Amino acid sequence: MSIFATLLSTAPFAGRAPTGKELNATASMGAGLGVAGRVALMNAVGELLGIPAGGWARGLSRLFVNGDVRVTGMLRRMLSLHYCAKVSLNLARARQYTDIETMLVLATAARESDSSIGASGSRMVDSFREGGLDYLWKEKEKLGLPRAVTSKWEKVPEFVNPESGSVVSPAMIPAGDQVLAYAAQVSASFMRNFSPAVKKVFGLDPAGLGSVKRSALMVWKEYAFLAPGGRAYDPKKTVAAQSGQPFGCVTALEFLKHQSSDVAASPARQLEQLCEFPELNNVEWIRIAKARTAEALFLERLWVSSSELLKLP
Amino acid sequence: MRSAVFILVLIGCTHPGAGTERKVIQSAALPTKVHDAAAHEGGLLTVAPPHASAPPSATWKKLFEDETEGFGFGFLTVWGHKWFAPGKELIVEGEEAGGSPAVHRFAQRFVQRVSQVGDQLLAVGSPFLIMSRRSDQWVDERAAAPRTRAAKRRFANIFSYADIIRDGQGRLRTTVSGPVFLYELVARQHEWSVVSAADHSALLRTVRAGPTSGLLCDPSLWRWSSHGDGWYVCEDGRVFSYVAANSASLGNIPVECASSASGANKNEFGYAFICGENVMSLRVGTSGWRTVAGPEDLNSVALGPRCIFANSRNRVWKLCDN
Repeated sequence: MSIFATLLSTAPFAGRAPTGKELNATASMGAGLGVAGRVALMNAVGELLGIPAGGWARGLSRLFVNGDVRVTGMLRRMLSLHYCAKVSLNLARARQYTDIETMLVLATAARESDSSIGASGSRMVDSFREGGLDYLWKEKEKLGLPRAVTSKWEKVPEFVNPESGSVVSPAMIPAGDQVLAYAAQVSASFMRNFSPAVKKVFGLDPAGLGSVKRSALMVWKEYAFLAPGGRAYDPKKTVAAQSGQPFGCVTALEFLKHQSSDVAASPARQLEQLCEFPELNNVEWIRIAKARTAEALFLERLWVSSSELLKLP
Repeated sequence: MRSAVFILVLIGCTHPGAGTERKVIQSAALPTKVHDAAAHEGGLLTVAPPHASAPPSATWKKLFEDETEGFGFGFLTVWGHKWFAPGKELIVEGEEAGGSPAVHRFAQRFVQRVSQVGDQLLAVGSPFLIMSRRSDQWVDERAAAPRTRAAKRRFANIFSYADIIRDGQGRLRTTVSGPVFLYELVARQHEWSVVSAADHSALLRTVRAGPTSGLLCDPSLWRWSSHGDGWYVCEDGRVFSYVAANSASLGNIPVECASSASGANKNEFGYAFICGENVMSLRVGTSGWRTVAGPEDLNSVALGPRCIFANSRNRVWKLCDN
């Protein structure tokens, strides 16, 4: 394993959320790197996840815009200490109620609804606004959040999404709950959907997931958030031929199980191959999950490095 | 470029505080952000009931099916002896007694629901779709899209409910609403227009959650029925009708149904809603809620004179008593 991969294999600062000052320093370091430095760091992170250099050119999996990393916009906003204090508060709340990696929460929330990461207060916002949480009302009791939080949420009566044909049951929630809601849904999808699916396909107990490489597990967490189910994998067809919306987590698990030529490979090792089979990059869900994980790991490196440099407590 | 990354790598190397991110993963059941295809594949199901006593098995009869890729039904309604199942680019209607259903087609539209509003039927959907039924035909009502940035928001062009509601001042107002906008019928001009910004938020909340006073609980489900009346379900399972600002008990349902009730309908024949995999109904003239296993993952249910009607994403079903 490379030094870089080793560095990314453990959660920084024992998994706690960054302070406002740390986020501000993270942004400053990102700015100080310059375009070339940011691009190089993102490409280095991306390589670990099986993302081609330069990322993908189109859609929601883009990592680079106008020659710079896409997260530059967020870093620019975090040059304001006042803004960082709000972001830090949101991340700390998410960390209080879930065990999802802090920077993965930040990358997810920023991708789902850019304005959510620095949002605060009790102004009610709809959970579906920018593509976010279409089923939040239906799922709210399963998120593991206390009633003190969810009792403030309001139902939006169900309707059918004309594009997907699915019944949508979102909620109105306080603006300051958005990041928490994203984190809780990532966590719930991972625990309630992905984990039982792994047990079913690979026979791996939930505790066994701890031996999966951290970066791969982060991709799975994001993938489970985006597409927790999925159609059965059809080995007679290529991945590309099956790569639409129905290629969810369960489909990918079955694909990996089917690919396993090395009978000695452990289930944990097979799960890590999500980042190794190039054909899986045909699946947009996987590309998006990888892009978000790459941004999370990118932000983690800036956070750790800036804290070391500035000797922040 | 490479040196910058290298510095970051080396700095990270010296960090002593990194812990492991390995926590016990719990197992449980099913939240979804994305309802993917597998979740919607149907067929008759043997269901696990959400509460202790298993509902009786039931033989549902399939009335209509559309397996076209990307097709979806909205929410069905029963009016008199007819059932209406709206959906993507169509409204299917049929008689309880049987016969071939009639299909009305509407290109580029998605019809969410057919509702009885006063003495007429309205069909609502997207984009900003309101139609009324005249002489067995569906005719467009006049409703312009709002000229605001909000009109471009996701789902902003969807109407999914049509109701006569009673506002905070006790006035009856004829409305259509969706996840973003609330429209009102301006009777003099016979035109629908978006409710003014000053009233929009409060009135939309009234449409969704019922009157702000006079209810016996904070309802987990509220539905307007007709002329400013409605019915509601409390979190503890009590169900009430709300007529002329008075609540009258409709009995109790299991607590787990109170929080998850969906696909509800009320008409002259009674009340019906979905609880998990089951259909619950209370027929006018009977004293207790009836539970039957649903045929598959359902969108909505409604009572007819003799049957229960239900629809899923692709199918319309009925279940009739002998």
